Amino acid sequence: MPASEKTFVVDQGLAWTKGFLFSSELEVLKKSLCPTTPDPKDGVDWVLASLGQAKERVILLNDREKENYANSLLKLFSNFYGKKFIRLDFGASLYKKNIPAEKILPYLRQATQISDIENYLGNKRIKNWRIPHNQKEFEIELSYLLNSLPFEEKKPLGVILSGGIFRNKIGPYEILMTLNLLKPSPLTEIFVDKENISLAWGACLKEAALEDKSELKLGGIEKLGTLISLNGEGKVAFDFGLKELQETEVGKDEIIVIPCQSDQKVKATFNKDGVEIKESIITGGLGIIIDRRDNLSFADKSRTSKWLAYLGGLSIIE
Amino acid sequence: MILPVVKRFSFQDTTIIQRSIPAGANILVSEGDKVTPETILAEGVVSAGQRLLQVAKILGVNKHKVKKHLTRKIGDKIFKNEVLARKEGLFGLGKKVVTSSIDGEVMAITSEGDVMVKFLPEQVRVVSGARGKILQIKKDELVIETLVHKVFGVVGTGRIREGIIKIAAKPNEFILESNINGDDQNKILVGGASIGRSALEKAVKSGVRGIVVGGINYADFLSFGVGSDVGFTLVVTEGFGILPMGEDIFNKVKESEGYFGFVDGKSSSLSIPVMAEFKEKLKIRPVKWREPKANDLVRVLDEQRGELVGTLISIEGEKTTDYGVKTQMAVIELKLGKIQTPLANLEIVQN
Repeated sequence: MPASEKTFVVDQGLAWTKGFLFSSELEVLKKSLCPTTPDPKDGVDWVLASLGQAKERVILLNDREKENYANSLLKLFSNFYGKKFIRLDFGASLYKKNIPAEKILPYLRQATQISDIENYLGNKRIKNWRIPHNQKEFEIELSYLLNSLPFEEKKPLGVILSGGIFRNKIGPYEILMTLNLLKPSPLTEIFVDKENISLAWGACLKEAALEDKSELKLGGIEKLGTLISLNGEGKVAFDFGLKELQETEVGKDEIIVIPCQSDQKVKATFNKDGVEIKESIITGGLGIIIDRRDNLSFADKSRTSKWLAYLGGLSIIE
Repeated sequence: MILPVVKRFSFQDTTIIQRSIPAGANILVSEGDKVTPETILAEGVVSAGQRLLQVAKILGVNKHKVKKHLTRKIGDKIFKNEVLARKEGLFGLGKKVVTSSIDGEVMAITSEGDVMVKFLPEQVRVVSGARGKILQIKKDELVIETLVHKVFGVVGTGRIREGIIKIAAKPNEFILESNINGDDQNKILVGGASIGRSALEKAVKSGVRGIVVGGINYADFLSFGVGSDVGFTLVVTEGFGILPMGEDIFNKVKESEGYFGFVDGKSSSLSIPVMAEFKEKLKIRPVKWREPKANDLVRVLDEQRGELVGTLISIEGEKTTDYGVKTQMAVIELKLGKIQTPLANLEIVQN
């Protein structure tokens, strides 16, 4: 990418058209978004005008190239962390699927009628950019999206969660629901695309032919936390750089969340399948999630029902 | 952010309507003729068809022995509620009768033991119902160019149908089975916040041509086969759920109660021919999407609310709501007061 040239990237999704202005040093200078208009040009023109686009370079992401852009981003993450990353895309195209309301209902925390779920999703299909008005609608969307993605069989070591829903405040409940989709590796790094910017970053990185960065700070993509998946022994030892190690023991079928400050360097030691694992973690805003739902086939229905049963008693260590 | 500009209704749209002509009726107009709402387009003596009465099944008799239970011969007339067939029971018990549901003529007994009764021919007049010009005369319909006022909904199903507009319920009431009766044949029922499955089925059986309602459960809507036609046309003005019909739409349609209307599921609209003669057509420049501004009339996409149309007061910055959603907010004024809502959930209403 030539020096002193800014880049405009417009990502036209099914529901939202997102625009970003990147500096020549690959910093995000400006963001803009609007619902995707029936005539695509209207939305694109408005987004570019709101970013102040004049003569600078414009990259308009098209569907054919989106997978390549996603791969560029994942390659950067994989190279930086030395482990394989995947991207889980909870985009609006998932609303085309017909997920029965009965599958969504178990994940909702408030008492809800089946017809309420069906009506909300019916209205969402008419105007797919609509935003939840309350907690119940938010959970309906999240539950629907989770039911519409297949289980990820690849045991990824890193995950980037992407989709409009992640612009919102995401807590342990939402993360655990999301991670229910993954076949657990011993340790998984979780990132969240807070600005729906991951494809735009991928486009910039591809154009700049950038595969490695000394510091992985991509504006809009945040480190959320780390998932440790245990079976057998439930003990994890953490080295926070203090005098003594901090040990945590997790009971069988329990999940706990250890809150941490962001960007803290921690070393974790634990056993899985009889093998001692030592990993360095850079913590995220949510902390470290330790999941000890062992000896269950990942697709086993009782895994989900057990998770739902103890969700109310989710232990967060203060 | 830009938002969609939606029309809830339009005035004096030039449109094409089709008026069905029963088989056997004489067409009294020609192509190019100007017509008024009172113009008689066709008239004649026609039969509305026939009915099949399952006499053998109802009486519980052998299908080859129906004839001996009939009170009429083939070719005889019979009137509504008269006894068509009878089976005497034993010692006065188990007596059964079949009455005619129409005024008609006994035509035949089928091999299944059903009796075919043909409607008695009656004088039929097809009135234009619209002011305009005859564009085309086809075998069983006339095509008329006319000016209409149109009411737009958000979703619909069923082909274009004509009927007399009748207000069936107030905006915040339900259209119940009890709201629908035999007199509603050939009517377009309008109003209400919702209609249930059983009322929809009764509407079909009663010969209702169309229903325009504020809301409907998504599952009930799908059960009518989106994109197909089940015998009447449905237009939903507000969305899925229990949603009172907007007062703006309800009041406009109420003015036209008793007049002809044309309901179209594909365009989710109800067209009401303009009765008065206008020399000029209003021209409204179509604007599809634009930035909202204060004092815009807006509609909220929120099925939890009883009232959905209000005035935009202000546009706020991006905030995180108490349930964790981060989005740009707006303040709008409804009749019941001011509310804060995601800006993206508004539509600008252009009427």
